[in-house]
Amino acid sequence: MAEIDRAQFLRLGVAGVVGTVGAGLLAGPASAALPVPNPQGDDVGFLSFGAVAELTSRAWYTQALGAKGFTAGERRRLQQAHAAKNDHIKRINVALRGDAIQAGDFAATFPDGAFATKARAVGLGERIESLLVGTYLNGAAFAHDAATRLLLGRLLAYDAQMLAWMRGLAGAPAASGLANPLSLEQAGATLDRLITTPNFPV
Amino acid sequence: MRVALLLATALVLAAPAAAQAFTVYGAASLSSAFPVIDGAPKYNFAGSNQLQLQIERGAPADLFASASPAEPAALFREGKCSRPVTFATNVLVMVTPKSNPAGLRSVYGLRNGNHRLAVGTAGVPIGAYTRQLLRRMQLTSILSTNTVSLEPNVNSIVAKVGLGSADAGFPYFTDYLAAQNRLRVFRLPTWAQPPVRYQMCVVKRPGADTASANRFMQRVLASRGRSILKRFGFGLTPRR
Repeated sequence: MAEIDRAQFLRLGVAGVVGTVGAGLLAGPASAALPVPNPQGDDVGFLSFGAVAELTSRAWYTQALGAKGFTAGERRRLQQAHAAKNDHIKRINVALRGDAIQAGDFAATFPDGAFATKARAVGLGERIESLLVGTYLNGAAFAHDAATRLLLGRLLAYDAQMLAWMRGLAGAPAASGLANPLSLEQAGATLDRLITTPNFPV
Repeated sequence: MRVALLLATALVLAAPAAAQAFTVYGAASLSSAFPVIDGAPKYNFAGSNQLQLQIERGAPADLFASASPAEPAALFREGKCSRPVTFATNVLVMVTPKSNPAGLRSVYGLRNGNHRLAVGTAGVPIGAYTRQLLRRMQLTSILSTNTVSLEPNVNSIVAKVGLGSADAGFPYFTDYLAAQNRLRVFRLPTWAQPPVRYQMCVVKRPGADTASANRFMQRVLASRGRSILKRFGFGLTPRR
């Protein structure tokens, strides 16, 4: 990560607080109308990564719904999150316009046995949500376009909430301090292990 | 006398026939695979955007195969081409000369600047895809912090890097395969890859050899054509 100055540090802190402490408060209004983002420069990177990671996350929720070990209440939560992921992908793609990510361009490829037990499934889900939270945290602090920052902040709020829920399922504290912002280089390296491009050469 | 007259007539008739040989206008990245699929046509390989322009101006093309859907779609809208058909896919890679004199270890190494890059112009598909990929990776700045040579098609990118005139370049994976004795390849992140889709269409113009163009199209889409494309490193879309 590049070095950051005091102002950037404070913005990261605010974004982090929004993402972790305020997640529950903000998750509700996430469906409210937002100004249309007009991503500038590197903003596209946060959104493009978000779209591919959300597709991967949606695939996780799809498979988790078919896995054993989740209670009825947990399944309802998984179902809601799956619907929320669809909404996230749509919102990001609207912002990306011509750069929108098509679902068929990427496929999630999870490790063998990733859903064999609830604990393993939750571990993988936590990993994916951590990628999203870390990247959105970075984007909410540093995107140039205000509406893009707002969108990333809303997505961050929801995914931070899901991350906290998954940590709870795993028996860990919901949050262990502020989440770490992730660069696309870091987050991309992890995401690449979970996706392929079907119909495209290796 | 009669024989000489017949011969002269035959020559006169033969000349226009040769000039009207079935002609395929193809993206430069198809220049290795297409002649293996069918050696008969006359080929004109160049940047897809240049070929589109030539076809719009009435060039004697019968079939157009582009490295992106944008060019055939434009010709289709103008009524100069049949509905385009997707027949192959590709991915972008970064290449350096085999000896990698700049000591690059990944695309992120280009952030340091002061390297020589060979990149497609913004108008040619490889250039548009490269810019899309760099935007996604938040690396557009490398186009201003390095010395960039803008190339009209993918073959000139490979040539420039292969000769050591550039420290790195961004061609398709298939172009690397065709020149791998001279190049070193660096994979680019999967998540940031733009969807590179090749499309072809039959050109509509007075005197076009539509029958041959349709036969060529079927040859590319047939099992043998697909297996040749695959051998050259292209990806394949599911059969229609």
